[in-house]
Amino acid sequence: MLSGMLAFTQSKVLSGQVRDIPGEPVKFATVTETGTKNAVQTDANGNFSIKVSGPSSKLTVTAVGYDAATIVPSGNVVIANLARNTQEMTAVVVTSLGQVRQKSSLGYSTASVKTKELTQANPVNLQNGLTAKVSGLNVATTNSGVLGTTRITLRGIRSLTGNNQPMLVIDGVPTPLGYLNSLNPNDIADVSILKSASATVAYGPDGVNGAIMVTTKKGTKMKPMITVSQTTQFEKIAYMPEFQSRFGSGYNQDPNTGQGTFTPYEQQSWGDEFDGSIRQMGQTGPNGEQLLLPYSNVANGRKNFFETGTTNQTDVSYSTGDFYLSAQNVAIRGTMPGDRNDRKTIALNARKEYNRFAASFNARVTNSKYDVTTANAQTYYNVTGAPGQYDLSRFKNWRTDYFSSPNGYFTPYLTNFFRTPYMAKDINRQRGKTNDVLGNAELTYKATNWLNFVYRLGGSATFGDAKSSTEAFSPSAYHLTLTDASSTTISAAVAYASSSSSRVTSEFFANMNAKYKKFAFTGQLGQSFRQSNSNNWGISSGNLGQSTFLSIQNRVGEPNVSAGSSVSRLSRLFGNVSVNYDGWAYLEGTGSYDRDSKNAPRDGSTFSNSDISYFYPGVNTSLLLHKVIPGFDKQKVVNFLKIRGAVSKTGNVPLAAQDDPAFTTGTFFPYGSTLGYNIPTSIYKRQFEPEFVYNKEIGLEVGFLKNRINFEATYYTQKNTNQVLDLQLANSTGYTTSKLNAAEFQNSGLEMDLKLTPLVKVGDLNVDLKMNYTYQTSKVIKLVDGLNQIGIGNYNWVIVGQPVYKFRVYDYVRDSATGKVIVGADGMPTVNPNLTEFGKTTPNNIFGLTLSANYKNFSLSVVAEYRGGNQIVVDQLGGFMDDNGISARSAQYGRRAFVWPNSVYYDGTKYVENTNVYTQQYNREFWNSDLNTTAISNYLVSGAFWKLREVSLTYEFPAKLFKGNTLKGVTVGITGRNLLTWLPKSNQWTDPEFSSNGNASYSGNAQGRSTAYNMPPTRIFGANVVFQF
Amino acid sequence: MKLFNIKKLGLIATTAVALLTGCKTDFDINASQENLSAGSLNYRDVLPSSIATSAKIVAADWKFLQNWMGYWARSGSYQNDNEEETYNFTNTFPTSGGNPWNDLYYNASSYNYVQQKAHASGDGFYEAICRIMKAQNFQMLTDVYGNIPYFQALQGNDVRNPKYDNGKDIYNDLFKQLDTAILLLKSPAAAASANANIAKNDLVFKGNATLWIKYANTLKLRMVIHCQNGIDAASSASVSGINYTQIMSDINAEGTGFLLSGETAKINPGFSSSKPSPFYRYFAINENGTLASLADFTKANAFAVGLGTRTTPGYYRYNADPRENKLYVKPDINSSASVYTARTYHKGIPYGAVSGFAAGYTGDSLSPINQINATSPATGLSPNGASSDAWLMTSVESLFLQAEAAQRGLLPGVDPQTALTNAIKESFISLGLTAANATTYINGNAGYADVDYTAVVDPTIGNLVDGGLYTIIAQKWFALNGIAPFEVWSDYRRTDIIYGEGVSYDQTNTGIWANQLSILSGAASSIPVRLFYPQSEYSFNEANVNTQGTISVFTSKVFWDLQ
Repeated sequence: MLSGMLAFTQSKVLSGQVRDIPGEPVKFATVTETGTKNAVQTDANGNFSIKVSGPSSKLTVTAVGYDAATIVPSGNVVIANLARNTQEMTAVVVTSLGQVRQKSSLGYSTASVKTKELTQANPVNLQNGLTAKVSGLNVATTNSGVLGTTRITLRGIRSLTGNNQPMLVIDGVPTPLGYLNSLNPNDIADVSILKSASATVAYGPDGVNGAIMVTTKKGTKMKPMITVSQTTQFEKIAYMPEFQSRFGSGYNQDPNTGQGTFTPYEQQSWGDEFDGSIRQMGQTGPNGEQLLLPYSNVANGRKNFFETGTTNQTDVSYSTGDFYLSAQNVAIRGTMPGDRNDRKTIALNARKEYNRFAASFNARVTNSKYDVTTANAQTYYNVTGAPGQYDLSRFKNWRTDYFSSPNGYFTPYLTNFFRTPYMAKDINRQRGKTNDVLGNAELTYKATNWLNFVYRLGGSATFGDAKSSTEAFSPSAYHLTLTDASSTTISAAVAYASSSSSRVTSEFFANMNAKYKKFAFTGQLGQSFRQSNSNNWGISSGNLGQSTFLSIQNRVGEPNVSAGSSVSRLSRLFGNVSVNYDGWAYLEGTGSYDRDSKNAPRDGSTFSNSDISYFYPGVNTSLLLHKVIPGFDKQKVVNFLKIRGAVSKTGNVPLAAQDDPAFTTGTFFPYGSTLGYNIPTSIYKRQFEPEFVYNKEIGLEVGFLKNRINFEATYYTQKNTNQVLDLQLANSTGYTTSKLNAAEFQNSGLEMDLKLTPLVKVGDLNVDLKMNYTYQTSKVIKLVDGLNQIGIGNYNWVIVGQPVYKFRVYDYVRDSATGKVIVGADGMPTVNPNLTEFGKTTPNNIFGLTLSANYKNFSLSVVAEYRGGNQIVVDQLGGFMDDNGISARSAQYGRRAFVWPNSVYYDGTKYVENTNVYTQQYNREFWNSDLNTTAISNYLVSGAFWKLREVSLTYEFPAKLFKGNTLKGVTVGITGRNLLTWLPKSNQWTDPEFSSNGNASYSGNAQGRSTAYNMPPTRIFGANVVFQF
Repeated sequence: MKLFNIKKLGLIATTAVALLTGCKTDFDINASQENLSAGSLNYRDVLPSSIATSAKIVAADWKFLQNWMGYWARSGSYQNDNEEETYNFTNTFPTSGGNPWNDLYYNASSYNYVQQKAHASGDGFYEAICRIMKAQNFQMLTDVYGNIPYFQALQGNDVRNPKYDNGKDIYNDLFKQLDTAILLLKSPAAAASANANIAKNDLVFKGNATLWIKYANTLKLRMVIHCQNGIDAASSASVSGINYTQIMSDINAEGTGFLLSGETAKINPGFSSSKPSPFYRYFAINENGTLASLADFTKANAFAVGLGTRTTPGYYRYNADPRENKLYVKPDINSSASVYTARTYHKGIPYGAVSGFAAGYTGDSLSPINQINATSPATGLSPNGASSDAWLMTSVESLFLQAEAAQRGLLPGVDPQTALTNAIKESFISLGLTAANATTYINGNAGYADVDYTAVVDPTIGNLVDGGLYTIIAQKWFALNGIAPFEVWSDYRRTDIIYGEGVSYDQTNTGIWANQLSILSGAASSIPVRLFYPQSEYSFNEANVNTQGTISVFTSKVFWDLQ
């Protein structure tokens, strides 16, 4: 005791940071006082602090994946620079509860993405930065626009109708996934992807779909560093649907020739062929004005409506010991003219240690302010629907220019869908604000060498409000005298919505470790509690008359009001014990006991704890064979060989809180004191079984040629039982849906990652290649009631024995022998009134490729991705385009009779190949008929694509330029995202990733059907500059 | 020392875990604080909304029948509704205005909910109303779709795949349901004191049990009449299995009778421009003060009102029928002017007109079926605009049913001609005209079988049929315009008297417009006699709906449709 005291008096504290070359922090490196057993680990930001016994102590720094280094400290601050030894396989990863584990010890699949890989193309949000970089991870951008939406899945789906998106953990605190949009990617130090439920036992139901573990940057214990960066990006419409360019406006056909005739004021495109003649478009104005235009197709006439969007992103960060402060301003201007979103974020991370205590605190505040049109569909319809002879940008000034105004617009039909697109977007607006606040505090107490306690309290809250409005319009007196003018008026409308949600998570756990001879034990025992709340209210009126003052105060009649709230609680006990034998064999067992308020009986009856709780275990193992196979070290080809396996069960209650079917207020009720309610249209069972996911995976990790080649493969199966489904009911039951534990399915897949680091190394040129491949498949095992199939909407079906989900759509009647379309004597097919089964709605194969090259101070990075094996349905956009005669499809036969491709007809005894029976209908009467548009199979095409996701080229000015300056470094770069897309010929419409369901977690499972609500796909390119002080 | 520490730390840890897990956190929080549930509302308050929904179904769900029956047609400025006009149906038809199958079952389900709750709490009046209204829903369902799920229907999760029942068995049970309702209404259980808020929640008769009994009896009469087919009583083949003579004698014995003049079952909980009456909301101006989409779409049918010139009258003007101006608004001469100036003649559009014809028959040049702006005249169906009453079953229909029953000898002691005259007068009065107008009309068309009950064949004046039942059926066509196209369709199906039913595309000759004006009584017609079962049945109740075999909307007739 006394000698210990004496020793301390001579000691001194060294602190510093371990970095790699070129300067990224190295987390979880071991810093040892050379020649002693005194050692510490660096934190997630590479920082460390160590008490050494004397002023002359040296430090030995080791880190997996790096060559060891010995440093002679001068002063109290130490910076250690480590050279990479390209040992990718042996890196460390952040696992559940923010625990740092050697990757080699894990029996399940994980992946880590570094800040540089994430931000190389300056994505506005993290999910775009992750796209194509990790096997098993599918990030689909389901819409473009300033509030762009994405849907993320890891290893496909585990719940047919529940949430399938992974959980987000920021600095150890579970946080709603929506906060991805408010994270500044530049604040992120590291992202770990935990792909399976085996990896996330500590999070239980939240982690059933895997987890994205984000570690944010912390301060470095050195002299302060200030980073300023500016990024400007431009977003342009990449492509529009394929239009026909031969026929202009018209509706009627010449009865003699069958060919279209010109109607100057028609909005549909069934007119005669373009001939370049000057014609009057629309109708004559009140003062005799005429709009005279050449009758010829205007290239990009529709696309010209959209503008070049811009994103201006400014980042400032300040870091110093224990402290990291950053601010970001992002100003997004959309391709939809007038749409904008401005986001400001401030983040603060701080940490303090005192003896055995350590405390840290993170806070992040994001404010978004947006102004967007609510008439995307209308606007896009108006743009795509316009006849080809117009350059829509001619009609921009609709408030002042007669022919651009709805009164003088070329089409007099003032119904919802055919006002001018400029007017549609301008009169329908939503302006709103969202404030996100995230914070967490962590307290660690290191009780002994083998035991420490962590308490973590995290919270997140979002407050948003928005006001949507519609301006009034009534046609002019002159307009009403025009041919076919409609007297439709628009009443002014206004809607206010406010919402708030919050989530508080409390976690308390103990970490233990012990050694016994060749055995090392680690264990965790913990408890967590989570409460989620949300509230919303809305007030609106669809009738402010013709008022120009858009306020609810101005309404006619009663306002519509709504209010909603939800609260749920989840309490969990969890633990795990891991045994490591001799540094090469690992075995871990896990267990969870959950209590979930959402699992309460739906009828309000009393229940006990055991009614709402459930237990589930898991086990995983990892064997480092290269350490034990005799003679393995003799050969030089394979230097690392690991096999692993995991089996786990996880429970999940896939129900929303307080989501029981509600009675609704009847139309226009109450009338005075007379109330009126409608009964719910759906029914629930009394209590649900939790969905259980049985995960099994085996994996192989191999390093070749001193880890110059790394290969990792995982095969998994997940059996998903008790699937809760909204079973659609026949209306004759009195209801339309019933929520039931209704299905069981299994999904399985193969994930492979191959890294060639370097692929090429010649002098200063260093080229790395990383590839990942994912194969996913699934099979429905059984459904309730002995059903064979269940539709979940958007033509997505769950069919026993088939993968989930498959399309079932209306198709033509086909000859069962050949699969060819049967046509009648008139050459026309007939629509099969029953649905026909087609392909999968989600991709089977995903292939990602990252190529990065460094030459001196230049670095180039290219990310590409392929997805395929699925189909998409574009019936709404495709059908609309056919209806209006603007689609390339509608002119593919020149609007003349044609022989139905791949068709047969009945010759009285058998079906024979049709080569000469021409269709009786071939102009508008066919293309805009039900015979064409209700056969959804006309719009069902391959969903495959190749995308050039990211290209970036950066140049870092040589460090020697800045010697002695305040300015320490400057990096400039140019970046591009989604620059090129390759689609199969059959897809004439839009981005196959787009989906009408967006990212809605509970209804978003039905993928693959896009609508006209989706904006056209865009490409993004830009430049950035980073200054370091 | 070290050992002590471990123990101490262990104790701390255990205590901490125990504190956190053991704390009395309430997990019974899953009952909604905002959403209404069965436990948080009074079931009686479900009744008003259910009745309002019934009124909406009556007003809007049968838009396609208004078109098929020759009353309304699509304006030429609109793209055609292919299925409705070409008769190339899929099993999602109809969608415009509402889907009858879905709407009627859901509405029946809400009555069923209230009925069960009322039964449990002994609220006899509530229970009776629900039994009557539910019977009406199933009467319509049976009439449109034939055999349907009934005995196992409306049971939610308990029977997810209800079996199909024979229409005849359903009809027989509906009569029983109505009997039960009448017994309840006559029992002490129906007393207002035992039925809280009945005067308020009964939007129809404000708690008047006698009128509800009349309603039930009229509904029975409607069903009995549906089972009458053929031209006259003598040759009528009865529908076996429906003992309608017994049913009629039970009604006569019960004694309360049918809905009489002025006893239209209607509601008006407080309709106003911001809460418009359903007929007005769907076919005139909606709650936002803008033209309802179906209003612009829906115009007068040329068959009913002619083509807009002196020499091209429709059937109303042909008979100098003043109801024409109460059912349609004459087009405005100059729609841009702030003052409404009527054109001289009504102008309709032939239903199913192809685009070539549609050119001159668009928008404001056609007669709308409802008031179109503040200065144009209100119609007889929406005399007070948005605030007009919404009807469930009209006295007009009731009087016509009684006239036919009398004509068929089912109402002993009632003179059919008098009954018919009363019905015609009621039609005039209900549209804001007078009994004297009706008399003028009847006298002015003496000798013509479509007005004159006593008319006989007289080629000299062009009258090709006798009056009698023919007159009743023809007059129903004139009188039930807008208010009960369903009954006119039923007449078309069950009798071989064709009057007025507009024929659109001849389905065997797709694409060719059949001039309705040329289709007179007895002409061949191809109006569907039923609808397909909906896709939801084929998707979610497949085995049971398949027991009904392949359905043809032209030949798969419902049980009473023997024509």
